[in-house]
Amino acid sequence: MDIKRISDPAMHRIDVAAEGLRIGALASMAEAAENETIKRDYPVLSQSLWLAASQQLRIMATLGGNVLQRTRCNYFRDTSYRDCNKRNPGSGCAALDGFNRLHAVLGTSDACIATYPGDWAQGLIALDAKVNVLGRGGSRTIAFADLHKDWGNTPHIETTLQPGELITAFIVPAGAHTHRSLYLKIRDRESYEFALVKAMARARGGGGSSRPAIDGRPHAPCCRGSVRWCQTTQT
Amino acid sequence: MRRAAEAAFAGAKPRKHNSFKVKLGQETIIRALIQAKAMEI
Repeated sequence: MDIKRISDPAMHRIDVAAEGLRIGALASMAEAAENETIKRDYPVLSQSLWLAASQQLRIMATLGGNVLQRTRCNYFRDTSYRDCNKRNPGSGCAALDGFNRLHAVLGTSDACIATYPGDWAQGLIALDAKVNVLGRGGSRTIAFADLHKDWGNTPHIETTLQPGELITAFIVPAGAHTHRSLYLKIRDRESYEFALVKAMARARGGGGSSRPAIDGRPHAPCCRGSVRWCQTTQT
Repeated sequence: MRRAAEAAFAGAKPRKHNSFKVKLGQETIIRALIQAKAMEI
């Protein structure tokens, strides 16, 4: 369902303030990628967008839609494969014994080894973003890291959104670390290709420690059991 | 950095065709850390 015609301007806007960013869920990937403040002060966000999709897709796609995209696992997408616990809970996972070169190595279970294909979500994770959600019960704000669920034995349930809820905005807090943040996407092809491995890193200014996060293609954006936050010492 | 990279993948469960991702992922982390440290303050 195309919801881009929702007229609330706040959902389409990118607001920059000293305390951080408020990015409307209906802003396009291209708008956020090209925003000068985001490019300068939150490079991991800009890079994660520039390395995603193609310019034609970035112009059309909304940021809210992007984070909710589903896996590109071929056994999920091709309905001729009966064994898929995402499509058909309890049927099994054809990828376990199939061709799984592009599947996950982290955060998997015997129920599902599908990967999360998005890039923008990784940048949000790296910067401890929050997401505003609006539903029948009103509005709420959650940590973006809590939006996607660990799939465990229920891979057909992918997010913590309740029926009828919409993502309205992303909130990214400002900080010294945002300026020194980056996104790496390793893939077979230089452009218009999903990642084999993704990594995000941020470093504090003036010493301190660097903090990496990785996505060895887990099923969901780096969160909970899929992420390893490690402290290293800057020299 | 190497220890951080290895720790990050300590729980990895590679399958028949994707075991290369473990080493690739570790090297990617190290590269990301090096690049982040080199970024201007």
